[in-house]
Amino acid sequence: MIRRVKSEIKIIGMNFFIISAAFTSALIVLSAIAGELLHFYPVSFEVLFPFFATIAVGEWGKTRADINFDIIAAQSSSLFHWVLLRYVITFGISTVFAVICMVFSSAFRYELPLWELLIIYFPPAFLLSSLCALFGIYYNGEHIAILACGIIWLIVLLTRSLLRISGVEYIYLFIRYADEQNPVWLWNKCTVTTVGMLLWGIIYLRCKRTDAH
Amino acid sequence: MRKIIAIIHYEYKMQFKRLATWGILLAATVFALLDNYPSAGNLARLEFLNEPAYFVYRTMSLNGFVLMFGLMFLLAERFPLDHKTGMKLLLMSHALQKRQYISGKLLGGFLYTFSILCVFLTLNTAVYFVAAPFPVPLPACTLPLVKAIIVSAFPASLFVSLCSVALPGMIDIRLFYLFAAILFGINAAYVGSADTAPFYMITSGDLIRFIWVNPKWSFHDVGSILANGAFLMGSGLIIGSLLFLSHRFWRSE
Repeated sequence: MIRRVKSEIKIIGMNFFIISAAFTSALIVLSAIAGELLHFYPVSFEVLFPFFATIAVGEWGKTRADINFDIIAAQSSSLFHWVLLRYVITFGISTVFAVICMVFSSAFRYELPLWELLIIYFPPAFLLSSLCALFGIYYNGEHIAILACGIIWLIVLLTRSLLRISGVEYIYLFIRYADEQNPVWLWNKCTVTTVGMLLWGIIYLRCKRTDAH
Repeated sequence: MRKIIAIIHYEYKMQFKRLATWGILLAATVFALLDNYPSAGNLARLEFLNEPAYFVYRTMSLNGFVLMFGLMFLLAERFPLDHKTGMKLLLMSHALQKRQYISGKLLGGFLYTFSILCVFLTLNTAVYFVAAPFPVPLPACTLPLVKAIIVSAFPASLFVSLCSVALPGMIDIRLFYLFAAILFGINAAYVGSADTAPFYMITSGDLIRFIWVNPKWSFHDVGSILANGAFLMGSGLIIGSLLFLSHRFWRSE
């Protein structure tokens, strides 16, 4: 297992770590200089970092767009395990960088406890990156998965006025960013995480079907 | 010049043949019509939707923005794809100059973005003209449409296309996506007000006030309009021209 993880990290390459570190450092600097006007935590950990995790999964952890996909699909005993491993590595590393950013930015501006920051970050990051993994399984074109997720991310950002409709607050992806005081935000995070899990159910079924062929 | 035109023609034709182009156009159009279609519900929700100029303004600033974001992804892979498929090596082995190759790619990307944006605006305005439940004179639709194409679509297309094509030729495409996501995210988070908009707004900067101005707000700040135009056109042209200066990009000539 460790050998496979090492091999996947080697495939992902150094650029991922350099870019992640640069992005994390930029956000830490921003946390120090942004002042009180910017709602730093929701913007950084609910909107920006989840999309960064999605870029990581779609661009560094690509599956069907990988030129060796056909060989892997034909030779591996379980395609799902390979997809999951790649996802866990890219999403996991992005999450580690997010946590580092949370810890350091909390040193500059302590507004929320770390556990709350993690809850703010994880569900949207998990949902968007799972969606990206799902698109990555269906489409072999490079950047298509991130294109689709990017458009969804932007449309969700632009449609925060939909929160006026009753019930939307339970599924809106960036609830803390749009309405920081919303009392149902924890339920919202549970719903979003559940939807993310359902996406993994679809990915599992799709991989099983590919394995069967 | 003939070689530049050949590359422009190839870029233009190839991008239009991509299913993703039409998918993005469709997604943006559906989003625009859900948001702005002159139905009874939308007319009750949006105070000024009975004004064609407001419809064009809103379609350009909000929905055109989504379209630009989608096109950015398609444009960004033009240079990396040539590099990856070996097309660039093939082109370098021919009597093609660096400036011809880069100019063709940049202009092709710009014309493609501008054309798609024009199609998008015209299509939505035509739907509004036909579907509005009240009489709309044709000039009331065409005038803001022409204004939107000249004052907003042109500079926004120039900025998005030149940056999206040129930057991934110099930096990692993933890093470019990240920069673009941050800029577009900041743009999406901006809420319009009577004050001057920040200069870095792509489709909802103060240039758009040439199309429609909220009658409740008085706006006379020419400086911020110029700043917005200068940012979009200036940074687009500067970033586009950086590639010409990059020695590593092409064989030594």
